[in-house]
Amino acid sequence: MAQLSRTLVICALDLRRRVRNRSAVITTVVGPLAMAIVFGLLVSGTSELTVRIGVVDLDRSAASMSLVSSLLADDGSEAADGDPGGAAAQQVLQFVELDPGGAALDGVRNAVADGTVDAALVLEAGFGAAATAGGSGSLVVVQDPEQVVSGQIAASVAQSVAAGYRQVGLSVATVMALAGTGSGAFDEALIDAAGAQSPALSVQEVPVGGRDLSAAAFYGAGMSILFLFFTVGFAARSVLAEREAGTLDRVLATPTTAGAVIAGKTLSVGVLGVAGFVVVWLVTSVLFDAPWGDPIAVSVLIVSTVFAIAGVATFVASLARTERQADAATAAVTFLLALLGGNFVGPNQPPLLRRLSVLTPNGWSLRAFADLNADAATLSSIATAVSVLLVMGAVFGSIGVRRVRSVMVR
Amino acid sequence: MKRLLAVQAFTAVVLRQLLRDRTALIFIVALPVAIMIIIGTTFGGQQRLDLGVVAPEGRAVTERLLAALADGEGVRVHRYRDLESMRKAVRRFTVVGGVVVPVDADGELAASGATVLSIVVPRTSEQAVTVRRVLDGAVRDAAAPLTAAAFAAERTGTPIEMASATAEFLDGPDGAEAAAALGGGIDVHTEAIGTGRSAGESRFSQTATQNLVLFTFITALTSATLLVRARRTGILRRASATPAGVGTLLCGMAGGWFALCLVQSVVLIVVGAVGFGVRWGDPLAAALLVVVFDIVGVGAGLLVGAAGANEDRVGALTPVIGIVAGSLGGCTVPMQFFPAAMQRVARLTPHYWAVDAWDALVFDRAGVNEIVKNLVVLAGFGAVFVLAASVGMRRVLQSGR
Repeated sequence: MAQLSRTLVICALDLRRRVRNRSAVITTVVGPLAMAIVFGLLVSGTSELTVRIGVVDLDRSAASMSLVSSLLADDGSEAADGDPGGAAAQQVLQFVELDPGGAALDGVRNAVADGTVDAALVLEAGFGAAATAGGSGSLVVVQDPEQVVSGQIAASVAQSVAAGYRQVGLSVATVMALAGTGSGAFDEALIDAAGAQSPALSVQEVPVGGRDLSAAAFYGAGMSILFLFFTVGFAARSVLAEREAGTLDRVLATPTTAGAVIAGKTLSVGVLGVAGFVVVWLVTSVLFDAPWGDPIAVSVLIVSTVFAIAGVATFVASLARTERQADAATAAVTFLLALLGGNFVGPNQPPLLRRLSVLTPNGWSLRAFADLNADAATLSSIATAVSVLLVMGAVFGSIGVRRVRSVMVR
Repeated sequence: MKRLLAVQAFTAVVLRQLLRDRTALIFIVALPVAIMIIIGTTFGGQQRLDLGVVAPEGRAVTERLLAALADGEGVRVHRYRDLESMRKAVRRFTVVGGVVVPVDADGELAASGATVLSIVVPRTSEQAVTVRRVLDGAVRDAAAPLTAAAFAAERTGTPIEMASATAEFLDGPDGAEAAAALGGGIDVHTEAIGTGRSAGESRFSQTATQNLVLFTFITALTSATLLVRARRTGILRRASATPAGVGTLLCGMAGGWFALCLVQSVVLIVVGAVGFGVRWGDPLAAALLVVVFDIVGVGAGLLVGAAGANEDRVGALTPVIGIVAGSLGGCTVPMQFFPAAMQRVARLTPHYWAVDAWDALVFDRAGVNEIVKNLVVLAGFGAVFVLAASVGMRRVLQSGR
């Protein structure tokens, strides 16, 4: 009981010192909030984007002209069946006819290069004949490698157009082969019927459901975790600092045990870590209207994340002999884990990084926060993440505490 | 002459102190290189469109659809076991959208000649359009022989299996000529134009230039802590009583940090060039840019050091300032992804002008003439920072803080 009250005294003393010093406020609240706001603003969307695709008809046949007019009538705001969730309310895709002039393909290249259009489709001479009567014809997609999205859209439109003609050609050829009429005989009625055949594969849009991951909430959690290392690593570092300053010996000369000192210091950083996390949670939720998900699950995840990071940070700091070494080791491990865990790169992680992130506590925590935020979590996914975090915290923490204790009584 | 020697002596002391500091060394060399490797390896190269697919294994429709998606421009397919897990992945931005093939798609095709695939598109409008178009192209591509088979079976009264086999043959390499002779032989070619910035450059080029700007600035800002420490421990007051004076001491400290930033810049440039094949462009222009930007960084460090009251607080704040200013200036998320309003805000940071100049040197093979504007703006930032820092420092010393 006496040790408990001493633990609480040490905890309160450390808390007071750190809050008065204000550096704790910077690492627990100001830093993560500033970074979450900046990243939230930077990746909050590029919804003003409109993709303009130029269409050039160098063939001037009936088929090419018909295709051009159907593309020009396409305002890009169509939805497949079903409600796209209001996604296509604004026009983001526009087809414009380019006048080839005398320069033909060079003129198109210039139009794409100078940004008049973002990409272009060129119906080359012979297109109509190839499409309807055999022979070869080309549809050229002119794209700027810098304009990735426009290039993808233009290439897909071309793929779609070519598939339409291919379907008609194949249909006629298959009928002729099966009927034994051989190739080369054109039957206009048959071609028209093949063109009118409804496709074997059609698509129906289904709503994405739930809610999208909020950048502010994601980076709020990500940056809080990042700064947690500095906040909670302070416990072990302050033991080293007190040892260097000689105050530790004086404390241990009292009835206070080494365990009570460690527990008090760990409790103080734990309280600070949780408090900072909660402030960032509340501020981003209110400021960006970014709910983090089910409050109970978020609370459990915050506490287990602080526990895990406290364990790892204590272990790392316990490897050092001086406070300066502890600072260096904490900084290095923090950034390495943050990089591997995906704190800096956002939710859309490359597969390699996603695999590496399971080796880190921050990777597990961040993924669980993202799942909760995007309404994609299940009880088992959160339970797994929380269990892994608790195990990591317990394993690293117990080794770290044992090492710190041995340093204290050495 | 004596003052110059004093500045040199101070610079040497600062450099020695810094080189003994392992934390500083981690931030100066190891961290930027590690970030360059991780970001360059995982994100470098061509941008991908990540799409989800839920489809039964080993079915004809699945195979056709996967083949058609593989033909798509920069598409990377992720398989999911059911619609719900794919919808979650879309909400988490693991994939931008996806398509579901019904379990009995082949059976439905055999029975009725048609089947319906479900597609999931994201809520953001420009991504939704991309996903719809890419999936539409792939589905139509996959559907062509299936539609032809259904059409032929209906026309000729042949069983669908036989019509499918015929259509498959004609759609394959052996039958393509016969089918194309009857029309539909449209070839799609893609032609890439423009500077093709990313095409000819190392995949590490973008991250290397961003890291150089981000980390030299953070390193330079760290000088603020040293300055606050010198003030708090009375070193500056003692220096003001010596013949060398505070100005000499400050020049010496700034010189030490400037030298360190130069060393860091050179190390990152050499590692980028030798280790990752980054071509940094015109040497004269690159050298001028490094020198001017390092002056800006040291100026900012002196300013924060003059304004800050507490070593711990300044130590905690400088990395935040460095990363926030760097992110706003395009050092973490490339500028082209910024919303329009944030692109305007970015111009208020020196990082924007430095990253923009590096982009011109590395990707557009520009020379000094093309980046003069950036150098002038950066010099302006440097002059303002140094001036504000000296005014602030004079006030602080006069007030005895």
